Formats: sequence, C-alpha cells, structure tokens
Amino acid sequence: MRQGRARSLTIALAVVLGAIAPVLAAPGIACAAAASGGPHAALVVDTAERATAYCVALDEASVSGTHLIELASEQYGLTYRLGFGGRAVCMLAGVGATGDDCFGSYPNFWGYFHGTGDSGWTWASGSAADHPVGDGDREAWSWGAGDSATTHGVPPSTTIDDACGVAPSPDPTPSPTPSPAATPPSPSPSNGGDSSNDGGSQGGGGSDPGNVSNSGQGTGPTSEHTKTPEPSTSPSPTAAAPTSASPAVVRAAAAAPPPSSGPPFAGIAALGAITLLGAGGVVAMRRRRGPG
Amino acid sequence: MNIHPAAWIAWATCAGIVAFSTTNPFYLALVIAIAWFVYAACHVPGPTARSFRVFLIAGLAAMAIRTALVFFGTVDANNVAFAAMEGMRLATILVVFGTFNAVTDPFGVVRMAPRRFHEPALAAALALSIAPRTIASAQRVREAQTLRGLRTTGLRSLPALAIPILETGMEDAVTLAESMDARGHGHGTRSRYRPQPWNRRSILCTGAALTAAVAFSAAAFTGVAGLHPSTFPLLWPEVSAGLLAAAGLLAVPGLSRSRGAP
Repeated sequence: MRQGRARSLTIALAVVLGAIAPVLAAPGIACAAAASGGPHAALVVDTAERATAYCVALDEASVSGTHLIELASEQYGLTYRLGFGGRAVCMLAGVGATGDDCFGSYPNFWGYFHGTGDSGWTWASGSAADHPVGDGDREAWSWGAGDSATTHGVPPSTTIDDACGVAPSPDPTPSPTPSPAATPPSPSPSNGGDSSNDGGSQGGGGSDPGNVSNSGQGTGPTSEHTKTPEPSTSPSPTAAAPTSASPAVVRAAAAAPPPSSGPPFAGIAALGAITLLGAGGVVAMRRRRGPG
Repeated sequence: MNIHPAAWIAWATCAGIVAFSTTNPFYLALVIAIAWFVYAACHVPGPTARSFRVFLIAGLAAMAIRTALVFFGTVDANNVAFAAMEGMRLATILVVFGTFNAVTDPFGVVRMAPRRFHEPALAAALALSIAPRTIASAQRVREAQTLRGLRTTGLRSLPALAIPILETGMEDAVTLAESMDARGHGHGTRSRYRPQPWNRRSILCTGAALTAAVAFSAAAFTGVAGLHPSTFPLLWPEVSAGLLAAAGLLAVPGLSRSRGAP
C-alpha cells in the first residue's frame, strides 16, 4: 500500500516535470545569428499601413521562409507568431491573430509573396515553411483580404538594393511617408504594438523608421500590448530613406536582440498550487486508508 | 453525503472543457493535479479505483506518442514543444476521464435519467463503464493466474491475460443482456427505485465546475493571450491569476469532503 502511494506520487511528479521540462529549456535556444557580409535576403512586411523592408542576414546558405521571419526577429526585433505547427504566419509586427488560429481575422490574413524579376511580387501558393530562401532572394508578407495576387494587396515594389544595397545619401527632406493615422483599419483585436509604432515621426533621416524593434519579443505572448516600448537606442548609420522615387517601403534598422525572459510569476504560483494539490491528495489518500 | 452522478458528469465535462480550451502547460498541469486530488479524496473503494492509474498511464502514452510523431518531420525545440503541449492536453482529458470513472458509479447515470431516455442512458452508461469493467476483470484474471503459479508480468504473459479478459467481457455482455431481458427491459414504462438526492454539495461542485468552464470558454472566445502559448517563437507561457483561480475551482469536490463526511 505504502509503495503504491509512493508510486502514485512519483507518477504525478513525473507528469508535472515532463510537461514543464520542454518549457524550461525554451529560452536558451534563441541565439543571435546576425553576421554581416554573409548571404542576405530581403523581407518586406506590409501591414497595409506601412511597408517595412528588412535586410536579413541568413545563417545558412538556404533557409525556409519561416526561418527568415525568425531571423528578422532576432536581428530587428520584428514581432511574429507562427501557427499550425509553425507552418502558417499568424502575426507579424503586431498585426494579426494572437491566438492559435492564424485565420481568426479572416478575410484578413497574411498573404505570402515571392520576389519575381527585380522588384515585382508573385503570389506564393505553398507554405513558407517549405520555401527555400537563398542569398539575394526577396520575400514579402502583406496583410489584407483576398485569395490571389489580384485581390490581395500586393506589397510595394522593392528591389534587393532597396533593402540591402548601399544606402543612398540621406535625403535632407523627410520623405513623404503615408500617414498611418489616415488608414485606421484594426485587423486584429489586440495589436497595441502597432499603435505604439505609429507614434514616431517618420523622418527619412537616420532615425529608426518605426519598425517594431521596440516591443520586446521574448517576454511573453502579450508583450506586444503590455510592455511599454523601449526606445530604440541604436539609430543605424546606414538607415536611410529609400530612393525618393519610391517612398512606399521603409527600410528597417537593426535593433538589439531583446532580453531573454524568465518564467512568469503566476506560473510559479501555479507550480505552488500543483505541489499543494499533490500533497493534499497524498494526505487524503492516507487519511482514507490509514486508521481504518 | 455523496455527490450526485449528474454533478460528477458536470464536473468531468467542465474539467474537459477547461483542458480542451488551452495548451498552456501550467493550466494543464494544474488540472491534472486537481484530478489526482479529487481522485484521492473521493474515489469509490473497489476495482474501479484503478481506472485513474490506467488512464494516467494512457495519457502519458498519448503524450509520448504525440511528441514522438514530431520525429518524422522537422525536429526542433519549437516543434517538440508544440507537440508536447498538444499531447499534454490530450493526457489531461484522459486523466479527467479516469478520475470520473474512479469516483462515480456509471450505473448511477441510468438511475437519474428521465424515463423517456432510459435506453440511451443505459447504452451510455455501458459505454462509459467499459473501461472500469475491463480493468476490474483484468485484475481478477491476473489474480487467478497468480494463484495458478503463472507469471503475470512481462510481455510474454500477455496472451495468457488477454484471452480470459476478452472471454470475460463477452460473458459479461451476454449476462447483462439476459438479465435485462429477464427484468423486462424495453417492455413498457419503468418505475423509479430509490431516487438519489440532489444535495447541497452536488450543487456546490456543479456551480464551481461550471464557473471554471465558463471562465475558460470566455477567455478562449475573447482571445485572451496565454491559453495557447506561442511556440514559434518559443516563449514562456503567460499565466493569468484569474484563470488559475478559475481552474482551482475544479478542486471543490475534493475539498468539500473533508468538512462533511467522516
């Protein structure tokens, strides 16, 4: 009897530990892989209010389309969330679904485009998890409705040089960025990170063009709308306005990788409650069996 | 002062809803711990009490299999964590079902069903009781084989256990059908025998479980973060104190015993 009780307790402990072990191991995995000079690819994120071009350094000769987003997150602090086992894009730059249903905001969703020609885009039919991205490739994500390139909003034309090329000399006059306040569609129920991005003036000079580098990804699923944005302390010297002819795409400036987060406080409380319940169960068991 | 079978059904359903609505390991581990606590405090002595352990092992196996499936595709920490959390949700639902089997008599369900629905309720009760009955007969067969000096552990003894168990199951079914026929089942209306009281404790347990289920359903519908922790990127699951407290309400059946009954 005593053995059986001890075994039950061991099983309960094993369940709890087994469930939490992968989570404990989680934060140590992300590692910054920004290497300058290696292969690069352009990633354009078009939230329908603003299009941002990221020049992403690849950590291998060929990566998948989803890994490109992960790399952009490490190098620029782009917030993102993938779903359906990492095969679909739920949220980018604070826009999109925060739950596990990536198409919770349907008909609006993140359309996926591959680069064609020098600056054009074609509708991608497959999953980004399967699409290889190599040096000099271009990828784009566009938020909107419509199931084809003709009905879905096509991202602004962007060449690889727009994202990665030698920056043109800073334009003395601020480039006319489209005002974010003019188009206030709120595609997702909670994308506070988006509004925090809209605050800064869109000077074409050296300042960070208001990409999502401020909202620290890595601190929890809601960090996009609970954390106060920390100011970007690293105005990149290469960040500049795009060529004055095409002001549609803003080039992203590199951001420091976000600090790694610890376990949530309430999670520790949960573990305490679990331990308490386990002990309570053992006591109840003993009381029932013990004296008779 | 026992909890009404319908209250146990409500408890199990609500705990299942809570487990189904989230993949957050903190909430799921809490529900598993609660199921263990309720089982420890309320289980009916007898062979059906073993069903908790059996379902716990089945849940662990389901979780392991779900996680192992990842190894057929891309293996990285994100995918493994995603699969493990999905598997844990399944394991939690199985553990809740194991607790339900251990704490209540499935045939009590038949007694409280409205007369019009007696036959479907009986079928449901039979379906629900298959697992505990099989476990009980497995225990009987194992004891019998031990008395005969046969080994009852290990893979090689499996056929010697499985065949008598299957045979017993068939015999049980035939006996049940005969006894139901002999008692005039399915012929005319039935009277009710010893109605079970719907007491305060049952109401308390049902209300607490319903509150937990409603809280989690509302959180799922309004898209509260943390129910489905992001694994792409892999982040610490966010836990809300309110939902923790709501899940804790499921432990009420285990708590209320220490006050009332001896």
